[in-house]
Amino acid sequence: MSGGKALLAQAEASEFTPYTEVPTRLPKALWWVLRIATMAVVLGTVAVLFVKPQTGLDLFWKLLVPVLPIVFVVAPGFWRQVCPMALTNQIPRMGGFGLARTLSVKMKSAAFLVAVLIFFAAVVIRHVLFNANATALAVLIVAALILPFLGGLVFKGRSGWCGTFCPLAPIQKAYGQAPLVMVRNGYCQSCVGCQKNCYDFNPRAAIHADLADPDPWYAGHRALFAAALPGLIVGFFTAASPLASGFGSYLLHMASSIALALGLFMALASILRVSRYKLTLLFSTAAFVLFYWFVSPSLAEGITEFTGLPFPGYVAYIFFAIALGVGVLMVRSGLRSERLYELANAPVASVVGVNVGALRAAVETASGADLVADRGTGMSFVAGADHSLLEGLESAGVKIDYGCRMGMCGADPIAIVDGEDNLSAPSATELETLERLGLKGRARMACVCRAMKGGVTVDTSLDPRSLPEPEPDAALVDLGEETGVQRVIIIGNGAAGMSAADEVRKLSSSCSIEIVAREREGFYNRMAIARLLHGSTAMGGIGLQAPDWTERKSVSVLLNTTATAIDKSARQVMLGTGETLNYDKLILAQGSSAVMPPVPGHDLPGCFVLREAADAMNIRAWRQTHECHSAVVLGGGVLGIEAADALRQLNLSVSILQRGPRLMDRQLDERGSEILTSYLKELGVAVITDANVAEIRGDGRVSGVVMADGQVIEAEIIVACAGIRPNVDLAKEAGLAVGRGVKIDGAMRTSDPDIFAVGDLAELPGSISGLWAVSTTQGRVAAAAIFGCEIGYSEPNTLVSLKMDGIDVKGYGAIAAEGPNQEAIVAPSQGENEHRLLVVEDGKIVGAVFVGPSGTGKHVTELIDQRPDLGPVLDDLRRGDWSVLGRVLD
Amino acid sequence: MGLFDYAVSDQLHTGAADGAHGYVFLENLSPSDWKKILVHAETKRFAAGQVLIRNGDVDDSFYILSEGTVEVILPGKDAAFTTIIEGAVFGEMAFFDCLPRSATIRAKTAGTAIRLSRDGYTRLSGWEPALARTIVLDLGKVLALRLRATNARFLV
Repeated sequence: MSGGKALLAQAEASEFTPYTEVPTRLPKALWWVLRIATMAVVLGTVAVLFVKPQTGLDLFWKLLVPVLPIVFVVAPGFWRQVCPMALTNQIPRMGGFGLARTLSVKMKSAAFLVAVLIFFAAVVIRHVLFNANATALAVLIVAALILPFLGGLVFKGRSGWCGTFCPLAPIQKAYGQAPLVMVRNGYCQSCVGCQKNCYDFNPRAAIHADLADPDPWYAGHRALFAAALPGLIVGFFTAASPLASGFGSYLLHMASSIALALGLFMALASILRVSRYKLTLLFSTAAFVLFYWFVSPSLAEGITEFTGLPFPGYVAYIFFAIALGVGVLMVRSGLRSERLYELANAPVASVVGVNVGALRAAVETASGADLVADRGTGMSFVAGADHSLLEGLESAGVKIDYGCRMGMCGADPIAIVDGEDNLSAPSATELETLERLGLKGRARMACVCRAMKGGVTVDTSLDPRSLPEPEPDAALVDLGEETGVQRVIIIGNGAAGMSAADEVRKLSSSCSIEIVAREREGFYNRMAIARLLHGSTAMGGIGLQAPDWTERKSVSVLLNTTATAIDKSARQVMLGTGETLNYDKLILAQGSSAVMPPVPGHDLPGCFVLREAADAMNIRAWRQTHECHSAVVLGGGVLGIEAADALRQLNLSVSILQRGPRLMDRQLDERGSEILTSYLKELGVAVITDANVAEIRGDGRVSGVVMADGQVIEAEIIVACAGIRPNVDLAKEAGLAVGRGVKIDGAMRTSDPDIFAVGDLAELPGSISGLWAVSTTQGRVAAAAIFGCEIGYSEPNTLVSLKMDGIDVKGYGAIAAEGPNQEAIVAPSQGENEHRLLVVEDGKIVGAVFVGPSGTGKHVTELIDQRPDLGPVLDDLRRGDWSVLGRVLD
Repeated sequence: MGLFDYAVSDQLHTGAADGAHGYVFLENLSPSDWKKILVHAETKRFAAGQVLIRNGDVDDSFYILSEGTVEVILPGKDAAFTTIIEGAVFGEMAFFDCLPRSATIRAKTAGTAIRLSRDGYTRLSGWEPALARTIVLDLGKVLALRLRATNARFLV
């Protein structure tokens, strides 16, 4: 293939150079000398024809005419530069008085045929008239100078004669179809595009483009001429004088000779498996060689006559041998250019195309001119209130890390380089996150920030932390110093623990903070662990902490360290390493563990839970070290679906087994779940609901799942995402009050006043555990309570969002009206794939289900954040005008 | 094409479906179908001289040129080896085989291209399976036609 490519490059580079790139070898002035000299020779010949008719006839027929064909084969461009007809044709153009009209399409396609007819007629009449009648020949020559002038006066470029009606043009193109030497066209300073497949523009490509023309008649005219040419020549030179044989007999002879050639061409075209071009080349070359077979003797005679040199008889054979040699070169050059033309003319992308009109119309309506540019990758995407910057970047093919897609986790801060004013205003949640990350004023969260209009430039390659830091807030009172709380220990480095640490440091710069973390990884984005399955960057990209965080915040983090016991009275935490840590206040934030359903076989190798980064990396390692074709995910909740999507991207055939009647049954109503299920199925993920697993089967390692009804689903990997259990053992052993979780009050205080519990392991009446926003809020409340500040806990935004490419799935609170005070309003469908439902009570949103393509869930996060009074717009919503949602927000 | 790249409007700018072959990619799509595709594709506006595809890059997307002209530059060359005009489909090999790009595509004029990545295609197929099937079959046809053209050049 590389040889072919090299050839292609060569083709484009040298063989088919358009005239504009052919070097000028002779100075312009010299060309003018040559043009005038040629014109002088022709006019001189006309004069001689009148003064000494026979000499004039001999000069013209025996010397001038026989020389032309070889010039046409070797360097046709030379003749087209000095041709007297071209000169008169170009006078109006050079003089600036030409009308420069465009030849009509009809005339363009007929021109060649007209030129051929004139040429044939002239040749046929030659025997009858021009061979012997000097005056007639003189008139013909003068006419051949005037007609081009008229053509040049009316039509633009060289379309009034040279490239169209000139009777010598067909024969120049036939003999000069693969010029041995290229000569630059000096008449067209700039191309005006006056004709199709212009011979003067690209001489070597013209014949190929002509023969490959989609119009079979247009192409046919060229082939017809080349096919007839040998017949014309043989007929002409073998005809008896019409004066002797009679005109009728002469015409019959000419016609039968031409017909014979045409018939031979057709027969060969039918018999031989060669391209039409090759036959055209063969016939053109044959005509050329035959011509010299017949004229060589008279050429030798003519030279002798005009130079006085006594040429012996065999000189004619030398002339013929030269012509034969040139004919061989002509064939070689023609075959080469055919091959290169084919290579160059079937380029990478020209075989097919789309209907540009339809596509462009769609692009216009879809995009308009408002774009957001990413300086990092040079990509751009359409701005609009319907899509977040994250969604825009994703559609543009730019991959950035993301997490909750709700502005809470802080995974996707993005640097705004320009047009900040055109972005949506940050919500309280987003501001809190930016503050936590120390990026307030330096970045926005891509997942919730929208470009309301164009002109925004972001930079995904820039770390917002490298931007100048805004002025720090005024120094606060150090609550640690004031209250005497100087040693704080936090167990657990998830969202709850880290949020507590941040807040403690904010309230006191003097107290020590120690974080004891069982996991090996620093604070990472737990919501993104499914991506560790299919992504190849391991922990890269899911860390949520700046590298200098511990140093900047003066926090000591003990990773891979287990707290084994708590001594409440001594206020000590015992570590698995044998060390003991003292505290004034202790915050428990160990989170929860995944539950593996206790079905027989659940402990077989190949069965995994998915809760932590290490779980995800273990699954990925298993997939790579064991032959795996399929996977089963137990659990059709958010994590289960995300895991299934990740396993699918590991090229596994995936089934989700959901115990409940539908996917995400706590967050989605039937319609929403149906759309989600259909999307997953189209991606190749099987969904089985009301699934009851009887047994996990395998010999040494997992090989499948047996359902209660006996059905067997093969799987070499089983991932359980079937619920969590709070990690309460440590608290229980320490004697704290424990129910399902560690019992706490509204200030996150446990039954011991110096111990607090936050996040998944905490049990607050009425709160939902397992959500990021709950964890971070509780962390902040606990930190304040440590120093005696009761800020009061109110449930944060508990919107649940599926993190999956291409689909928006968001659920909050109620999924149907419960009781007479609630009302469920469904948006009119914007397509079969979209479902939007709000449950409203006293004008406030108490439930929401939004499922559909990306962008379906626009405004939901803000709506749940702000929970505005929908009372005034309820009627609009009921009527189906959901655009009001955008208006009720701040 | 390319060899007569001069201003003959009636020959060159008729939607780029090469007359000799007459195959129009995604011919029967309705405007709403195109809209559905664009939701999952990138609309890329480019300036003259901008590189759209760089030889050797790993990128699994294909392009449809909706406006403008781009040129193909082969590895190790500075000059363009051919020109691609509006309406053309290119880059489909890497869309299928995910291997590095085999040539550089540089904009000759300003224009617009539609870029559909594998991820975008997967999303589209999740929502519009029938449309996605049409695209992949048509794209397969593009590959087949080009393979035939290559075969004709090298095998016959």
